[in-house]
Amino acid sequence: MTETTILPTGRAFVLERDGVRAEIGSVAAVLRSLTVKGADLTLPIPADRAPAMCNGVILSPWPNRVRAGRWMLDGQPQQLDITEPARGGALHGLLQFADYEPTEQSGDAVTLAATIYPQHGWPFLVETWVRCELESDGLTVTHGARNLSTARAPYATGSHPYLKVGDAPIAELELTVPASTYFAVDERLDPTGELDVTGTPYDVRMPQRVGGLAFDTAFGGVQHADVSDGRGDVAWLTAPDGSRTTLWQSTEWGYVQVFTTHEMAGPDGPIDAIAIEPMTAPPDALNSGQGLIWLEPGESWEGSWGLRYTGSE
Amino acid sequence: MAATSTPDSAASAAAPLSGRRFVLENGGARAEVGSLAAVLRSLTVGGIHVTEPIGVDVVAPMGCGIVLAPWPNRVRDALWHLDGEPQQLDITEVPRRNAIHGLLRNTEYRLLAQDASSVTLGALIAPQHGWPFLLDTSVRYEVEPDGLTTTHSVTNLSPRRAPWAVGAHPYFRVGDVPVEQLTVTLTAAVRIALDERSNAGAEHPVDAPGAGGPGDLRAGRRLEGLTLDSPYGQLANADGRADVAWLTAPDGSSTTLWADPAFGWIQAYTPPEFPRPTGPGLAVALEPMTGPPDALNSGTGLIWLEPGESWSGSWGVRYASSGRGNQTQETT
Repeated sequence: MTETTILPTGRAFVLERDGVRAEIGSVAAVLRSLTVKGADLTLPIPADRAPAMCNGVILSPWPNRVRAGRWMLDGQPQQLDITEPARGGALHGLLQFADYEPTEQSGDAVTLAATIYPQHGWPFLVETWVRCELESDGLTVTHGARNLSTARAPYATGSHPYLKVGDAPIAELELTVPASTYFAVDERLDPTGELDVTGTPYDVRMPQRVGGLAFDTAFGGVQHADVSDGRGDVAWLTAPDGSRTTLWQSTEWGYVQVFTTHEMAGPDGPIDAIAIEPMTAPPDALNSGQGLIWLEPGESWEGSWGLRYTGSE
Repeated sequence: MAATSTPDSAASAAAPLSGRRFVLENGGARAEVGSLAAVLRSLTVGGIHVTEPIGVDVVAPMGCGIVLAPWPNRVRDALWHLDGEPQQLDITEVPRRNAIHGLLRNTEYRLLAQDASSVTLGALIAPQHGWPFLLDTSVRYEVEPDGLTTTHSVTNLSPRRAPWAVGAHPYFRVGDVPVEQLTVTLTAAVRIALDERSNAGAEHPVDAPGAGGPGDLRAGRRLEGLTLDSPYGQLANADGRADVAWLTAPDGSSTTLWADPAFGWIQAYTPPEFPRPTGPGLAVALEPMTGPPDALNSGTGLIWLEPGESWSGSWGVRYASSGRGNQTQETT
């Protein structure tokens, strides 16, 4: 564990264990890098840069968009700040630029905490934390929340990692997501309906080459694969040599957003990238109610996701 | 670990909505500070309220007592330009489509230092929408026997120069005297008119004919019936730390705002329905600021910090009872 000078991603925390290494930043509890025996599982964020395109940041107390930044609570309109002015919505929660505080540290784990205070459109006091813990083949990330309000509070969370499989070119990876539905969106990327993936370009239950995909899409009906201890695999990227990076989630995390881009900032210009975002709720959940976790006063919640690397045979 | 959902009754003793609580005392003066937005929750001198007090378990109403950084007041359309590039901030005043009061009003500051009479709180401003700079900021409150000194500090940790402006949003009182009965004096020679979205317009001498507004407050005006919602500049502190505004009660007791030359602007604001436990009523905010509204666009008053450069500046407040008088007022 080291804590060094202040970077654009805040204070840096380095976790190491048996050839697995992760770097975490205090701002947005960002996952700056994750490697297993030197192979990148995520797109690393250079030390002197802020996260590009939300790379690695925690999304809380909602992931993705709230339409027009507006939702209703017990019949009362709630107007959030507009954090995506171009589309007029409130994107990715309230902690994207928050400087979390470390509350627990060891050589291979760190817990970072941030309290969400009542503010425009969000009349709740919620204590939140993120625990990053190395495993022998990757990383477990546990999100927690405790409602300190006197009223029950909605909660949803997610994370925004861009995944890699070592140095394999992104376009040549094959993506599998065992999801039976996707969320259609309008021109502002707000959801208009949850539809069956069958026969659509959004059917990635069988592997699809990333180079042929153009996604900014939330998936539902996720069938967690190989479930054990309440968690299962929900998306994986396979390289031509058979090596693989797998995203797993607690069964309570029922949604995955996939975002592909050719415009990610790279060291020498734009590069391809693919974000695979674990989420407890789909876009605009504060309005649809779908996937929302309602926390009674004093109630707490925890749920996990993680990444695992499998080398070529 | 599997997802769990566990009621935890121990946690329902809710944390204060103003954040972590700090109490400062010095010679009969007392201040309470909360870590959320580094809010000044109360200030008393000999038990006399010098600011509008707010409870430990409320979020500051109408910005009461909060720190405004890295800009006070509004940025028009939440949009400004840096070296010709548009910078789109989050829209944090949705009805008027502006960005208001900086980036730290929902931030819980960290404790950096503390003793019986002072506390220093810090907050990092990370690069974000419309703000491509990394700033390490802090606020130090120090209680003195007759009031309070507030010192704002910043270091630019970016590899490029960064603009900086800062302010605070205190509402002042002179004990229990109804605000309507107070006389406000502002040493300002100029005032900026605001448009219908409360954005900054033209600057006028306070005594210019046709400038509109409440006009010249250098000789003092009674607050009853006076509506203030304007930035004022060219204060009495141009050449050094000085008293820049004060409130005087009918019995001669007074609350005085002083500031370093860097705090060259005051936003005067008189909401008629400031919430108090006894019911809503008139209040008066006199907000010391290093620049006027929309400084990111006008450039007026902006402090530019080179990479690695630090800055600090102070303002404060002093109470004088009717028996003690006030040197500045007697000589002004």
